[in-house]
Amino acid sequence: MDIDISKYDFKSPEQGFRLPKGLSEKTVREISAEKGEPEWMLEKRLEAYKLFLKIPMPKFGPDLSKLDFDDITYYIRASERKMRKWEDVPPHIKEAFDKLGVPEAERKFLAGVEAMFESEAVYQGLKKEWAEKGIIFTDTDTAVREYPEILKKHFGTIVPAGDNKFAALNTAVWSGGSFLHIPENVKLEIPLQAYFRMNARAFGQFERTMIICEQGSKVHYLEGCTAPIYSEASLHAAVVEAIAKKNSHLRYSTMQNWSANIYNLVTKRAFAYENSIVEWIDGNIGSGVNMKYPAVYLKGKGARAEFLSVAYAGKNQYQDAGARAIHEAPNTTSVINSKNIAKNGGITSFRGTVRFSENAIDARSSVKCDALLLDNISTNITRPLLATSQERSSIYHEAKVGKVSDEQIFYLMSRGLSENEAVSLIIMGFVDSFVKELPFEYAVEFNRLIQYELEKKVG
Amino acid sequence: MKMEMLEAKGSRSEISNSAIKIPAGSSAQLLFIYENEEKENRISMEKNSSLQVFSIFRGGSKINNSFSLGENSRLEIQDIFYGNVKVENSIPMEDKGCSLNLMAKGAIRANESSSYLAFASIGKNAPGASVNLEEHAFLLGKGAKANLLPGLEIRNNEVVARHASSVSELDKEQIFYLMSRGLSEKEAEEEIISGFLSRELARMKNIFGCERA
Repeated sequence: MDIDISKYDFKSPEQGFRLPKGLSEKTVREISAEKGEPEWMLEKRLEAYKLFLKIPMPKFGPDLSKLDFDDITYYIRASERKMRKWEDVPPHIKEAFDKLGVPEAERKFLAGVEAMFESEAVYQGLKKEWAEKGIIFTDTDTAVREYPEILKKHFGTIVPAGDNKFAALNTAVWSGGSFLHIPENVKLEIPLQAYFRMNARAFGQFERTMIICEQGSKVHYLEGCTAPIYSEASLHAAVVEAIAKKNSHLRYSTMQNWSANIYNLVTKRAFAYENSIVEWIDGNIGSGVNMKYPAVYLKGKGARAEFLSVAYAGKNQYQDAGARAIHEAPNTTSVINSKNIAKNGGITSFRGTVRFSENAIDARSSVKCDALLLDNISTNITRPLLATSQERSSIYHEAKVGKVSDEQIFYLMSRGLSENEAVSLIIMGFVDSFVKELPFEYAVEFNRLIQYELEKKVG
Repeated sequence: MKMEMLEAKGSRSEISNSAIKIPAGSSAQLLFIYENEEKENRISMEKNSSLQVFSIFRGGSKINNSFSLGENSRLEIQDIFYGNVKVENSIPMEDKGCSLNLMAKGAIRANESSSYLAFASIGKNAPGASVNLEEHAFLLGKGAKANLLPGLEIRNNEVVARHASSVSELDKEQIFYLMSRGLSEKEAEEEIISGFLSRELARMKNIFGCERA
């Protein structure tokens, strides 16, 4: 049997650059200068920095008072991330890799032992195929240099710098992220994967991702990974901007499993134009504090948004996730389906908004947000807001919160399963609709991950 | 023990920015009818008490209610709202075995705006608690606006909790059916709305012997 050893090849680190901790106008200028950016991008960064200083911290959700903006390094060249020794990686991270069956080379990247991981052999072929179709898939820094017209036209139009404090911060100090442009009528059946599977530079603390689907195009973009990503940085503040033009179809799958010391405060938003479809498949497993509310603004008639999300909160975790469907055009539809699981004192929160403007004639929306509490020290919060200004429209919402049914556990145990196995099976059933939508390898890892998390004991 | 009926209406309000206590073991029924009023009510229920609250919120009202539920107490809220109203119910449930059943229904006419928010939180020391929150509204004309939020916060897993909400226009098929039976469009709409509110109105009529809606 042939073994593809190129999968385990790593690029050697280049000469590096790292800014001192803390944020000032000088930091912003230095980041831009280091990247050799054009003037327009520096201006956007400086403008955003001023907004960042003005905009207050969010007044809702988890406590962010321990977040110290002066104790953060805002820029490290991707190739210069500080490499630690494998021996220094915490045992619980290593254990998670074992349980999930993460390949050796991926483990090292995820734990910050290796700087880059690229499955060259697999992706070289795909890269060629994409290029022939005119697809641009690169990191956003490269896009600033090579595709300035497309980037400049859309940058900050979907998530303006003034949207919230962390969007302003990201705009001021962003680095890395993916840039994806799908030309008209190009349909891509194989998912595009960011992060370590494809593009190490997409992985970053303040990544900025932009996806543009031209008319009639179709793409499935995947970011993140099920295995835990270990980082010493305390804050991850990404911005994702996506545009689905007329008759296009964008599926955006994201799996977040940062280590528990991270504040994951991200803004993800898509504009959906006439008869387009935007699907948001969102898994939130990691990070200590997570605030993420993917949004779709339905701007063209007949546009459709679907949200399918799972959040798991264990010990010392606060998953404040949700979804926002903003209907601004006639005959638009949205479906929100959220599943939350809390254990070992974790907090899960669903913060959903469905809003119909006066133009949303005959718009329809359905919201379902169920939650499971696996013990009596965990918390679930559900805040589904339905707001409409259009009388010819309808929104329906329903949800239930509870524990795993004793009757179901008893039934499975009477069929020979242990209590743990029975609970795992019921939970796998609870999140089944989500797992089915993941690509095969993600689904396998996700199943293992949930089982691994469930095995963890309190304390 | 059955408490006397407490009633508040218009400016003749007997219960203004009130604090009402439902004593242990008692059962009570309250009827509130609000029009152009701003109020804050604090209602506390002691152990083993039960309370049925019926409210009609008419235009111009801004009402803030907080209910606290004692051990094994049972609270049932049936609200009807229409016109420009803003209702906020905060319902902390900190004792074991308490239960809440809230049903709010609204019919919002053209150029009117109703906002109905309810937030129930079940504490760590309330095993056996149960919650059902439902908020439904019909939009009856151009410019009608609705904001509904049935919020839940749950801090232990020995609970039964569900919530549901909906906002929609009147079903055109139902209107068409009634019109084909000889009703005018307006009559058909009225018929559907009275059907939508019939359960709540009938219960109010049974208990209070009055027809106020």
